[in-house]
Amino acid sequence: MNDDMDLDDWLAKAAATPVVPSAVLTARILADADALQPNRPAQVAQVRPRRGVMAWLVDLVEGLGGGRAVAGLSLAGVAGVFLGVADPSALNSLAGLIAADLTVVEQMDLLPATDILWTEN
Amino acid sequence: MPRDTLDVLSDETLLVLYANGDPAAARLLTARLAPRVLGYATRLLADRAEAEDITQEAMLRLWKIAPQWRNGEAQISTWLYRVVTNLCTDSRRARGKRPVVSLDDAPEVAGGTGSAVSSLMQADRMTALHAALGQLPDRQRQAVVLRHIEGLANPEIAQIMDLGIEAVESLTARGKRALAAILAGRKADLGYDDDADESEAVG
Repeated sequence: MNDDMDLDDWLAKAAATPVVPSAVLTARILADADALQPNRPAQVAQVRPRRGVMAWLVDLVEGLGGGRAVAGLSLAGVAGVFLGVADPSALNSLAGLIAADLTVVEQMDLLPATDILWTEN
Repeated sequence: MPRDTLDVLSDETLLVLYANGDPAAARLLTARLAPRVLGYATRLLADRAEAEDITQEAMLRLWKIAPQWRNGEAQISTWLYRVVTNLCTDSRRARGKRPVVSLDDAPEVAGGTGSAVSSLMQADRMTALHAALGQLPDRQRQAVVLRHIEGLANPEIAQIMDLGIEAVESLTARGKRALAAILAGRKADLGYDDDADESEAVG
């Protein structure tokens, strides 16, 4: 090791020997980069807990099965109110309309032999 | 932006893209710069764990300065070498002692170029080189590493070390002489006698 040739050889070998960052170090560096990056693309919006009356209403609608289910329930409720308040004659006419479509049912003598019970001997 | 497109861009352009929110730019900059920063810090400190911390800190400072980076003022690599030089100097002052070099701290020698014995000998020599570098005064060590291992030109080293070019040349020459003197004492330990025997046998 008395001449420069040996030392130059050692230094050249050191220069040719890469020092490779570990995966952990790379992850640490990239985590910093991610945290500090300005103008980052929009992230997926986080779900924030809801509070107050609106939150209660939204939870109720979701609990009942969603918007369509609530719409169906509302329609049924309105129909119930109508049936309770409306003029009965209107209902009769409605029933008449329904009955008109029914086929006439023949009257049948289901117990013909019962007459003898009433006959005095 | 597709990675193939990013590959051909300069470090400075990638840093601008990073500042503009491009998610791939940081990964590419890290792949390019982190090995150089880590290599330099490892050779200055001879302490892998501390060199990793300094690498992370230097890269952190790069991410922070990205929005204010002005193209044309300096190369990013030059700026990073300067940051690492200062961080390592501070670290060594804080430790107040010379680095302790172990085989684990030395960069691994690429395999496949010789026998196992030869590879071990190469590893020993690299460890000895790092130990010898650790015995140099800070400025000599920085100059030798930047010139002869990192392969930088004297004007760039002068910029990194905030010195004139003549001062860099002087530091490098003195550092090399001191390094040769330190390693000369370990010639037999590092298998140079064996090398001589092999040469004679071949000859």
